[in-house]
Amino acid sequence: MTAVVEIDGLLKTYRRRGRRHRALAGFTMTVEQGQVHGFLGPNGSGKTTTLRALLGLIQADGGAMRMFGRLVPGALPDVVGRVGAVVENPRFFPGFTGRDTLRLLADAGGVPPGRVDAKLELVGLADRARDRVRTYSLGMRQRLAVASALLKDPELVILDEPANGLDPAGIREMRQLMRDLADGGTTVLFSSHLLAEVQQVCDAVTIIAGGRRVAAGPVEDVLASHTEDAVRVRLAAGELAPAAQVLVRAGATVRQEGGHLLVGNVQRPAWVTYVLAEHGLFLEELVPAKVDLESVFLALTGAGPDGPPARAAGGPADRRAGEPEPGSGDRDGDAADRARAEVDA
Amino acid sequence: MRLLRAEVRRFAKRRLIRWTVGVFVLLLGLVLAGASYQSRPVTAAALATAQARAGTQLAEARAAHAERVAPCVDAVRQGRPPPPEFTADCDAAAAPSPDWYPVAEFLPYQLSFRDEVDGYLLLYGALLALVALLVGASFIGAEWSSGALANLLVWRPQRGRVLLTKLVVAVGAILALGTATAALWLGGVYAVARFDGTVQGTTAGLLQSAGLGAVRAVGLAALVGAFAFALASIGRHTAAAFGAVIGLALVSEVGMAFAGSVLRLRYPGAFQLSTYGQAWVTRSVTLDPVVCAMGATCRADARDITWLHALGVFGAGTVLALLVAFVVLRRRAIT
Repeated sequence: MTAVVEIDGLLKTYRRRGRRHRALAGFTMTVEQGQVHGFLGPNGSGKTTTLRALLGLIQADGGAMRMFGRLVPGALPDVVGRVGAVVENPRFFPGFTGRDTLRLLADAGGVPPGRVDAKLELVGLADRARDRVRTYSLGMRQRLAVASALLKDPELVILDEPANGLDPAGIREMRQLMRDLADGGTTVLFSSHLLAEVQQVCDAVTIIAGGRRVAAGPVEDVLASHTEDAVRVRLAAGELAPAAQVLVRAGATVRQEGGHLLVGNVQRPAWVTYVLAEHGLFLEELVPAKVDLESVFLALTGAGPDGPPARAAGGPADRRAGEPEPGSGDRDGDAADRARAEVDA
Repeated sequence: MRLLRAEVRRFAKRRLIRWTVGVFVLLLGLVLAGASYQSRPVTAAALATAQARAGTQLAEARAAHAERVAPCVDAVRQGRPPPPEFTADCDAAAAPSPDWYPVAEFLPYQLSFRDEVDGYLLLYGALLALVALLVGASFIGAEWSSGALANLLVWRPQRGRVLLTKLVVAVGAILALGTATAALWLGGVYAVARFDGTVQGTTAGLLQSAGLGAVRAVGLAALVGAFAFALASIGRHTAAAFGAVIGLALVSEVGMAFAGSVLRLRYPGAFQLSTYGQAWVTRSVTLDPVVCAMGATCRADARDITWLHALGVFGAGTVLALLVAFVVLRRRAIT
């Protein structure tokens, strides 16, 4: 596959009031052609800084970026006609109508004005095209922003949090839109906090934390590489703590989650049954643990989608899904180790 | 060209700009209408009426004076000293004379193109400069503060070209507006004078001088617009330009006046922008040294500030502000 976006060792440090904040610490990302590529990370992890640098809105301190094989930002004027982008909150001049906003952008970008109404229709804004942007809700402005990004019929669409402000139906439409774009050959790179959405629509993901990539690759591979040899075990309420002690002593890792135990480092589920039965503890339920993108995200970043990053830059060993793992474990460095919050009775 | 066309359309669609231009044209129209309403050509009948009213007022004043000094006149006639509130000649010097009631004061207002065209140009120039300040600052300031400029830069990642195009459109629009309205304004003032006042004494030289004054007024507006554009771009807000202009005016007029007195500057006016503004409009301003302020005559030491000096000061300030705006934009993180 051809790489549409290549970012290698991107560095960016902000200086404010004499203080330095390293936003990007050698970030690396590759987006392949035709993919819907999710870009995930906690607030302040460097997502928007990366996208801004890619689009020439800020200057990176180091590293290299390429779009369609051309070095940017130097070649940005040459490739920008193939890129549609919305970075951060959609911002338009509030006194213009939605149609005027798009027509002015079309004029500036040499796009046929006839495309404006088609894109407004596509994002469901045809009925409000004559209204001023100041009367639009956040979700409508988001739709207008997406329409502006699609106006050029771009080969690469970059969307920063496109689901912000959308209602559930709007999120579903957005998901379908991204899927349709990718099916039509357009590459979509988007950042999001809605991990379930990302998992549903993305072909590949890059996870960033503390300005570094902590995981990347096809969604299935990322999930598979973080799937623990784990089972969920349910016992009677009073038996959870003794069972945890027994399993930890036997060499398993155990985390209590609500009314059950998540037991890791388990080669065969029957081993759990055997160990517990030996101590007079009997299972009520035993199922293989499934890993979703959210749990991987939490494990890698140590934070909820809206929380702070768990690690400082320079922390984790970055690994692409499918690459050989360091050591004998099946996790990405110390962040994943933290996910094994062992219950030490 | 595409960008230029888009920016021209964007400029024309801005409501604040439309309203500002509309109010400006309306104000000019109202001033001309007011002048037309008030000005009346002096006819023979009007002159006769004015002469009669002047004569009547003089007669009434003389009668009142005679009545007031009557006790004094009687006393003098009877050989007594005049009352203390009167002079020895019974206030003869205070007796009303025809000079006190010139006929011209009893004539209706008559606009004289020759005498008043400079004043009308000054008013026009001040209004146009205000319009230029607002248009120049808001065209870029509102784009910055609304985030629309960042959006545009994603579409056209050529910062210098985008800013230059916007500047060309703003200044070009001010020049176009100024050229059109200046011609209409001078024509309007002349028409009012022609039909409701007088154009007596209007020579080709006067018309040429008025035309050049209008050109200077339009030129000043273009400089003001570009300066405001640069300030608003640096400050990323329309209000930043207004604040900077007000601050500059305070420093120039109040601060420099104070500094001039403390530092005993010989020509403090040479450091005040108002001097250059006046020189721009009136072609030249003569500054006397401060030591002459008490009435001493020392014209030999006087210094002339001409409109060319003003062009140098305003031009250099505008170019400097624009350079800073372009350098800042080149390095700025667009947020």
